[in-house]
Amino acid sequence: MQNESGRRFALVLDPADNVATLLFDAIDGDRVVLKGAPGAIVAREDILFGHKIALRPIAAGESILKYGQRIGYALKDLTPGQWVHLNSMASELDADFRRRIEK
Amino acid sequence: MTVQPIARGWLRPDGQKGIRNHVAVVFTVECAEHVARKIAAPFEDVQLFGFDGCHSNDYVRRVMSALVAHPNLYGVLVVSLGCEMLRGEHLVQAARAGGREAHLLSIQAEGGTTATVDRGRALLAEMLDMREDAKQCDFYLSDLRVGSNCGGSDATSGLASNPSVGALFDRIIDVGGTCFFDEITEMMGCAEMAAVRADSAVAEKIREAVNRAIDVAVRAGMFGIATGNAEGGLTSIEEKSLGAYMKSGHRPIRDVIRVGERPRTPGLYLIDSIPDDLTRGVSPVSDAENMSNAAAAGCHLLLFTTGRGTPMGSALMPVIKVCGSPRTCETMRENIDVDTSNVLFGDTTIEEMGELLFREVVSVAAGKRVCAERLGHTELHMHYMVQQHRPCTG
Repeated sequence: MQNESGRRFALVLDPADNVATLLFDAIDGDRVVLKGAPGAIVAREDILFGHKIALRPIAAGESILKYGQRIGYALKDLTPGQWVHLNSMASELDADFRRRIEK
Repeated sequence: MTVQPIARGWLRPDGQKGIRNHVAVVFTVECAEHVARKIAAPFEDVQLFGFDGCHSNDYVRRVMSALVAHPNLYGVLVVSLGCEMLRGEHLVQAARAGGREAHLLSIQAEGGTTATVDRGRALLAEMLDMREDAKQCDFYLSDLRVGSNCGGSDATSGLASNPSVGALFDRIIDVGGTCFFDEITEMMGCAEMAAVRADSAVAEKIREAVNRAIDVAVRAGMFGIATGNAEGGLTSIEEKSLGAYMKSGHRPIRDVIRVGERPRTPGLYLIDSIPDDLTRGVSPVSDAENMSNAAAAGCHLLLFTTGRGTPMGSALMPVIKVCGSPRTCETMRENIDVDTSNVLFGDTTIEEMGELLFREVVSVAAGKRVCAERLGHTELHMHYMVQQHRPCTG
C-alpha cells in the first residue's frame, strides 16, 4: 500500500499484544501512529503493509502476541520497531514453514 | 411484523429451495471428463463437475450424492465410463430421490466419444427446455444457507474481511438462517474459543476435530499456510487461524457436521473436513475443496474472503468475493465483489460492513450475478478421504 498522508498507521488488536500490523509500507526511520493503543513507534527497518512491527523489547523464546493470543515465539531478541516475521519468529506447531517456502 | 421473502426461488420436489436453477453435467471418473466437457461446451449456463478417481470410496460416494441433489440444481446428466467404482446409477438415484431430473450415459454402452456427445447434447437440450417450467416459490432469509471460505489470505483477512463475514453470520442467524464455517485446518489454537460457544457434547466434537487436524497436519507435513500468506504478513498457522476463525462470528455453534451432511435446524455449524484415517487422505488440499464441502452441506451461496486475491467460483453456488487488501481490490478488480478495506482504516465499522455484506447476500439471492458467475467460473474439486458417516440429528 502506498503511504497515504495521515494513514501511516499500525493496528494494535489487543492491549496484551507485543506486535502491531502495519497499514502502509514503512521504511526504516518512519514514524508509525498506533491505532487501538496510544502513541507511536519508529520503524527500525523497512516493513511492508500487513506485516508486524515489535512494540516492546521481546526476548528470544518469548511469546509473540496478536489478537491477545500466542501466535508463536521469538527466534531472537527483538527491539521495538523491528520487523517480526519468518526471520525472527516461528510457529509452535509448524516450525518447518520457513524451510518449506524456501525450498 | 410480516416477514417478507427476499427472492423468488425454485422449489424442488424434495422441499428444498434454490436461488439458482442450474443444470449440470457430472462425470464419475477422469476417463469420462473430456466427453462430459464436450457435451456441456456448446451450452451457455450449463455447469460441469465430477470426480476423477476410479477407486471405491464411501466418502466420495456420499459427497457426490449430496452434490447432485444440491438445492440450486434442477437436474443432472451423469456421464460415466462404465467400469469405474463410483456408479453413475447411484448418483442418478440420489438426484431423483431429491426430485431432480437425472439421466445417465455410459461411454462404453453408448459406443464411444462421438455417440455419447451427440446423445448427451440432445438430453441436455431437452433438460434445459424443461427447467424453464421448474416450480418457483418465495424464498425467505430463514431458507438461506450460507457457506464461507478464506483463500489467498493475508493480514487484512483477519482484520477486515473475516470479522465482517462474522458480523454477517450473526445477522443471518438472528433472522433464522443457517451458516457454515469450515477449514478446521485453520482453527489451530482456536479450539477452546470455539468450545465455549457450544454445549458440552459439541465442544468435545470441536476439540476432537481440531486435534485430529493438527495430528494430520503434523504427520503429513502439510499445514494450511502458504507462500502468499507469508508475503502478505502472516507468519504462523496460529496467526492465520485466529484471523480465519473470525468468519464464524459470535453465535452459538450448534453442531459439528461431517462432509455431505445437511442439518435441518437453523443456526451455525462447523464442517469437519478432516479424515479419520491418516493413512488414506489428507485434509482439504485447496479452497475449491472447502467450497465443495459447503455445497455438500446444501449452501445456496458462499462468502469467500481473500487478501492476495483469487478468481474462483463454484459450479453450484454464487461465490461472493470479499477482499480487504486495497492493492488487490485494485489489481484484481474484476474478481472482487465487496471491498472491505475501509474497515482497516476505521472508516467503516465491522458491523456496518456486515450490514453491507448482508445487502449483497440478499441481492445475490435475488439473482444478482457475482463476479465469478459473470466470468464463467465453475470450480469444484474433491479428493479421496476416509471419513465415517455420522448422520446429524439437528
